[in-house]
Amino acid sequence: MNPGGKNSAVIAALPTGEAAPRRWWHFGEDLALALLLAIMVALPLAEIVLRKFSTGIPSAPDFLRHLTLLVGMVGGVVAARDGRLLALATAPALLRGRWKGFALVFSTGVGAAVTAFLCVASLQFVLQEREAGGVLAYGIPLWIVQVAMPAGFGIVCLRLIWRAAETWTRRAFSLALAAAFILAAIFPPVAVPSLTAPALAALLAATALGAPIFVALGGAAMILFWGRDVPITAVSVEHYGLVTNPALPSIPLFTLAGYFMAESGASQRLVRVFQALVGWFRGGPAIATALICAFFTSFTGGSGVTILALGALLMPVLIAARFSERDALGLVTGAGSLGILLPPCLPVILYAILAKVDIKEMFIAGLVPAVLLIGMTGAWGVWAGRKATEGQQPFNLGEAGRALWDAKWELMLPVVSIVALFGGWATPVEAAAVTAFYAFTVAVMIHRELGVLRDCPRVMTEAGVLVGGILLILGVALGLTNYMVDAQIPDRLAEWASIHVQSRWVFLLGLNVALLFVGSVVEIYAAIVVIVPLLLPIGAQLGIDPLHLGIIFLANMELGFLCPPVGLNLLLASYRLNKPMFAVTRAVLPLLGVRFIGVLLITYVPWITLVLPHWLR
Amino acid sequence: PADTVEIKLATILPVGTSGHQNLMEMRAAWQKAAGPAVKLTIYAGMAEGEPLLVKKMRARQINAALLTAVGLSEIDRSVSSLQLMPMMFRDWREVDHVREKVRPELEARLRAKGFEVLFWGDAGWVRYFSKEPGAYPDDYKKMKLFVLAGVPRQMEIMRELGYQPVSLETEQILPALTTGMVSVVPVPPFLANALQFNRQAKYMLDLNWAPIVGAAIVRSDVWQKIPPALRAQLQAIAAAASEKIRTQTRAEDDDAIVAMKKNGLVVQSVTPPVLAAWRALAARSYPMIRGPIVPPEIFDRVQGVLAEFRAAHGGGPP
Ligand code: NA
Ligand code: NA
Repeated sequence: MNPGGKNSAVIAALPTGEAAPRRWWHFGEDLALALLLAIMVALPLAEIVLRKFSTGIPSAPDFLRHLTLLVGMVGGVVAARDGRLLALATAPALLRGRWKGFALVFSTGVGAAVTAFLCVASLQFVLQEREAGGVLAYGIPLWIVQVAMPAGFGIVCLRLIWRAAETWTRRAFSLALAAAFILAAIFPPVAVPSLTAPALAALLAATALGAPIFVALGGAAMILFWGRDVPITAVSVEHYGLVTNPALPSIPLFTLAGYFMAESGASQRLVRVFQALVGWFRGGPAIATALICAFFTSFTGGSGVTILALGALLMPVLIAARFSERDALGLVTGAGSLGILLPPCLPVILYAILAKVDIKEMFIAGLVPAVLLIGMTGAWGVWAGRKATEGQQPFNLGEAGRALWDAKWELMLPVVSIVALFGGWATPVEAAAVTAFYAFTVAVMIHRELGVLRDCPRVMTEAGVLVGGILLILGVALGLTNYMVDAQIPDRLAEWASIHVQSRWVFLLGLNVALLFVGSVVEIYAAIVVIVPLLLPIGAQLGIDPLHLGIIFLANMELGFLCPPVGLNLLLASYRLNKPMFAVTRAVLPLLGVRFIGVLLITYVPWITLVLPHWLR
Repeated sequence: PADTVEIKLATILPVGTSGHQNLMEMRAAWQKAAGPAVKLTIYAGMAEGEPLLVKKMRARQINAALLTAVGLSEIDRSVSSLQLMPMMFRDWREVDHVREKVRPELEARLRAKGFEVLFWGDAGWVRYFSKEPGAYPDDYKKMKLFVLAGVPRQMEIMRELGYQPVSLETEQILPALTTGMVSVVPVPPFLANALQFNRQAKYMLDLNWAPIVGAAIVRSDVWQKIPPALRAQLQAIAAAASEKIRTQTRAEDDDAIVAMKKNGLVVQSVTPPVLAAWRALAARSYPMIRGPIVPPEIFDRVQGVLAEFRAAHGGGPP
């Protein structure tokens, strides 16, 4: 049973080339990635148990933080091997022949140069750390783990060049181009500050031609620091600081839980439940679609897994219920981004980490807004399906009961993570480990849809690749954020806002429009890391509650997934459901309008967000 | 101008706190004295933790920082002698005296690692805030105790003393208090007030467990670029600022207790037998701290200076 098919292609929604032939060391890499994730699950579980006997593992959090670093780097290396580093642009797909070759050689040349500098920067960081002599625990020096950073970037660099083309000539061209960029940076022909603009332009062009997102962000950070005469090691310090943030292990752990669910028969059982419960009345399948998508996204994060896992399952259900193909497409695409505000969704956790607010309060704040958006989507679906009265199955209590019973273990998943989170015996990270272990148990031991040896290594590697891709982006994105902090841009923005923006309503309207654009072109995690620190001081100055600001931000991001021309859900729906981008965009427009109204309500009626947290305080 | 020495000083103190205000005043005074020769930029509210600030200084992204002993001991462990030894000091008089005595040694050690001390400061006494009342150490051993993550040795010591330590990050304290994952947190009152721990932990033991001590440091290579005469001038301004910061933060700690009392904080005073029990407990921890946490020669020096001071000023037997 694997309903989503190869839905784990999520990170490579649009793979940049054919799969490489498998070599023996590829299996070794995959296995290492799976093992690292397995340890990440086991360690917090052991700590929960051992703490009861007042022994515990004193260094467990430190090991876990550095395991995240290792999973991120190995995952990035595997993603580079398989051409699955997330890219912003799909331009190469539109190009043909010689132009396509040129685009690849150019974007690879820039990408390899940037990655080589990231390798050098992290090597400098490791040398600096080695001299400082920090210890992880039990006498293990820190630098031994940190060496994964330069090693990882080094391999990614080589793999970028390797994958640039099939022929050695083109690889040589990419390599030569990379070397030229590196030489120009080391021996600048003119004063450095006058070089930053052309360097950024080359980076932008490479990004448009298909260079990975981490190259765009990391390159920008290094070029800008270079222009300010700050060593590029600064980017590596930030990268290390982010991936070893104590709360960050939640991201790989919840992603893993999502993958166990996505790769087992859970999606089909969940569709059956919601279909049986609400599918029987007019427009019911629309509500079922909204509910199941939100449920699924809540534990797969905002990476588009939902559309890939559920899109092809839900389309036939809606069409059988006499929805027009266009409405069905619009509904599936639009619902695919619901649920980002629900626990235990990762973007909420990441915002809470950055804004220094309580993770649980953030989730509580997101509940009413999430229900509002799900309700509006369902309502639109009911309206769109108003003519779809024929061919409905009547409600069948027996079928509903059987479907519920069959899916009871999946339905329990949010309960498990919420109890772990709020029960007082687990930290948020430990709750994530409990959730991952629960999802593993359900898929492997209860339903036996995944075999421990047959499927688990593959599923865990897939999760690791997604995590690796995300952490590469996040790490270097924080480098870019830090450049802005270094240049005091947040302070200046806050100062500018204090003079020019008297009303918080004006600010919020500008924010809505800007974030809609950002959400459509920038990866959600990167957007959170780069933009949230810019918004917090302004929000504080205008007296906007950080909980409210976070929900506004995330709701806007959720909408950005649907925004033409390049919203992620549009791309993924087009890819998974085999429909032209134009058709997907046209189909989602009405729902986009409805959801925009929802976001405006959330923005201008703070009560929607704050009623629950204030009531519970 | 090209020959401007740029000093980028980061601190975890949030914008708008009196400590930040004082730094800004010091910046203004420096500017007046140095003109365009020195440019001081202050990055406040750097909440990612002190160890990362130290890494940033090593990477030359910033070149100065205001750190507590937690961050400073990442550079040289000797600084932990002023903070990480529970109940070694009884009051500010003792802390001030010992610091002045061991200062040259600590500063020389930091200098050997490439950092110059601009000024020393402190930020209140760590006290026990708990959900249930308590007096004797045994009362607290029944509760789960917060220990800052990243110091495994600290965990082991607390465990060997009979506590039930739970290792968490600062931002996890409030949720952990709410759910009962921890029920006692040793923190200074200003922090308890700022992060609203008193909403959950309504009892404070009026016992000076350990002072929070820190210093502003700058990379030596950057500091050396400033002409010596000007350096001396800037150092004098920094010393004056430090004096002001110290007086204000000490007052703020008392203000924080007053403010929390208004919100229902119960301050539990300490009787002589209770104090004796705590001193006995702390004494048991010293052999575990001497060596693994505080370098032995510094540990002995601090104890020696304290014994002399108490003999001269009638501080009573140790
Ligand atoms: Na995900
Ligand atoms: Na993604």
